Amino acid sequence: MNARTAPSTSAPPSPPEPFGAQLRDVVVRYGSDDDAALDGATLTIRPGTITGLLGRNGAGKTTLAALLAAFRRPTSGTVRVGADGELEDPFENPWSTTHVQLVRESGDVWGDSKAKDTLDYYAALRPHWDADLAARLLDEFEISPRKHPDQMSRGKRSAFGAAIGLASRAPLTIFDEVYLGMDAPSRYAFYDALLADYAEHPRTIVLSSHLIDEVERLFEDVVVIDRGKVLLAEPAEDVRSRGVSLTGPAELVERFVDGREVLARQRLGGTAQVTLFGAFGTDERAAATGAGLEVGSVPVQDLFVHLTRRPGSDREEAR
Amino acid sequence: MSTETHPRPSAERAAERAALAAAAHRRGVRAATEYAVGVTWYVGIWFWAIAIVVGATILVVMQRNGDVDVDAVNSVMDSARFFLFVLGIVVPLSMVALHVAAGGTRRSFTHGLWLSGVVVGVSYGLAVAAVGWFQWWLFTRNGWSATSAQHQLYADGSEVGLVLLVQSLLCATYFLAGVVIALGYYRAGFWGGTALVPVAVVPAALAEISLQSGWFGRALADWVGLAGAPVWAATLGGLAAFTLAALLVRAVLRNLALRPVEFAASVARG
Amino acid sequence: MFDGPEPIYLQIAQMIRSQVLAGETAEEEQVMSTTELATTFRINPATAAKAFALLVDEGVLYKRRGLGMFVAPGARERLLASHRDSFFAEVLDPALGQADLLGIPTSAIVDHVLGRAHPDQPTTDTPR
Repeated sequence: MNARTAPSTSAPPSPPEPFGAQLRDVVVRYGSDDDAALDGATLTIRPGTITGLLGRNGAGKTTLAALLAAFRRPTSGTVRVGADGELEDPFENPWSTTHVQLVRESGDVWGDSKAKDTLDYYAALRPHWDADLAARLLDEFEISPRKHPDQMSRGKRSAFGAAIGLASRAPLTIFDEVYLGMDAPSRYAFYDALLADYAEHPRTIVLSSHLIDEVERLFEDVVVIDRGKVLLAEPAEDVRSRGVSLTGPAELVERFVDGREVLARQRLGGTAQVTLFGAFGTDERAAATGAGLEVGSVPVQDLFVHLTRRPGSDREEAR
Repeated sequence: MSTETHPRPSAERAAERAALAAAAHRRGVRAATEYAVGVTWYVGIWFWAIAIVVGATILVVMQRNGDVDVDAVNSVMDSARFFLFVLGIVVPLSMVALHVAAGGTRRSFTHGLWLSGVVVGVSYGLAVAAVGWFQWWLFTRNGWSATSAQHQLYADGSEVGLVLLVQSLLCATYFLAGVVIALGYYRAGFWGGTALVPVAVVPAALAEISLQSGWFGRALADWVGLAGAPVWAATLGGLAAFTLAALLVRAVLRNLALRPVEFAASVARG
Repeated sequence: MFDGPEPIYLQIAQMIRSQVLAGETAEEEQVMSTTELATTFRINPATAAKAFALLVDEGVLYKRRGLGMFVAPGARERLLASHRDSFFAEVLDPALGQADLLGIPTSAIVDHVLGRAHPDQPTTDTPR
């Protein structure tokens, strides 16, 4: 498809197609403790998507990201990364690593020298680095390239990492909780920059997050992991249709609940809204609509909370 | 194994990919080398400025007292390798996670550090030789004895080539020995890293013995009965020491798992 | 924007249909690109593309290669026709069902309909 000319030394290499990834039965243990960070994880990340990687703290998101970027190897199982039909083990594989960018929380940067020194190193190594974009983003986030990252606020430092991630234009770019400490305007500036650059330079983006409400519409696919296991990996639309919300007269609504698991129930006078777990078939949907109920999908956030609920421990954390 | 069920890429595609991977490797080696050498000399300018000031001060004091001893001045210059040992500990440790995050492999980082060892070693060796020659010139001009009481492969700073050879090998080996210690701790944690320290010291000791250098190299050489070794044998020993250090660097970096960010941050803040 | 209960792509399609119906976007006029839609509403470009695909299927939009999406000739008329078709099933029937629930007799509804001021031009603004 894209014009691949004979290898020439002058022109920058044409960016390869977006990278996908595949994990099979992946187990990662740190040290000898018995708790596995990933415990038999199997999933596929489709090339060209913006995929949301959702999980609670300690669920294994960071470990999964580290595997894709070849920061480490799994204890067992296989990790494959690459363009469609060309998946291969990324570990110590320069073809793969040069095309995969992982931005970790607060970034892999030189804290005690100018931001520009860090940018220069990435620019020297990344084949598709866009220095103009990096400069533009730094400008937008109000980061001076002369400032030392250690002297930046947490939000600015995160934004610096985000800028590096976008400017690297890697066919697989992973942002691991990259927005931490960023204020809302900066986060939205990041989402906007991400979408604009993604649309112009299609690639695969994995965005790990637990601020789900804010980012769920950016996702084409969603992966939910919990305690080292993959709970689901599917298109965001499918995730939303795993639940259903019904709004209407209370008695009528209750009639349609029909033994389903209720995630939430709200009542205002005679009107009730319930959120149910479990997909509605077309017939049921038609019946509910016909009866005058409003049938809606469920925010990914609500489903996520339900899927990753831990009996007993949730009350403390909600504090 | 790795191609499993996937369609076999065409020969053309394979060649293109191999060329791109090779280019990526070269970029990694070059960036690592340029940065490591750059920082080592950026800080090194201060080392040399201070070393020369200290050396000159000692000289002035000795001259006032009418007792000029060349070894007092030599020891300042001989400390170049220890300075590089420290930088070998500090600099690559600050680079490793960033190098991998920027898409570099451990292999390209290893090769970059080897190359850095050579460049840093030879450039510091040149600096020692240049200062050593100037010192010899100053001493002979003023009629002071420029001959060291410590037996070394060279008698004084006039043997520029020999000074360069000996100091380059020592500096390069010490730099890489520092790398082994730092990355040993990064890789294996406190106890494992500590256990690796004696191993990392072996190439440095081997270089000192072979090159019969300074205030303990010659003594050690005497003790193992190598003191009379000719220059070619000493050079071989120095090269062996450097090679051993280089292999240890490769071993500590091989399949290295990057630490979580918090660890890197704690290292950076000290 | 697009906070409704339906999938986002359906809501986007509905927004564009409404614009065409209201005449805000004329026939043969270019609509927003997927990129513009994605960045304006902070949604995945694939979601926007899915809305466009739906509207192309419906004959509301068509694609000019290399230029973008345009409102198809006759799109407004087609939309009006299909809305007329579905009016009874999708709008009136649920309302009548509601009336049954509330116990409003059909005669009251007929009276209401007959007594209602009937503008000749459905699109002219009625003064309040």
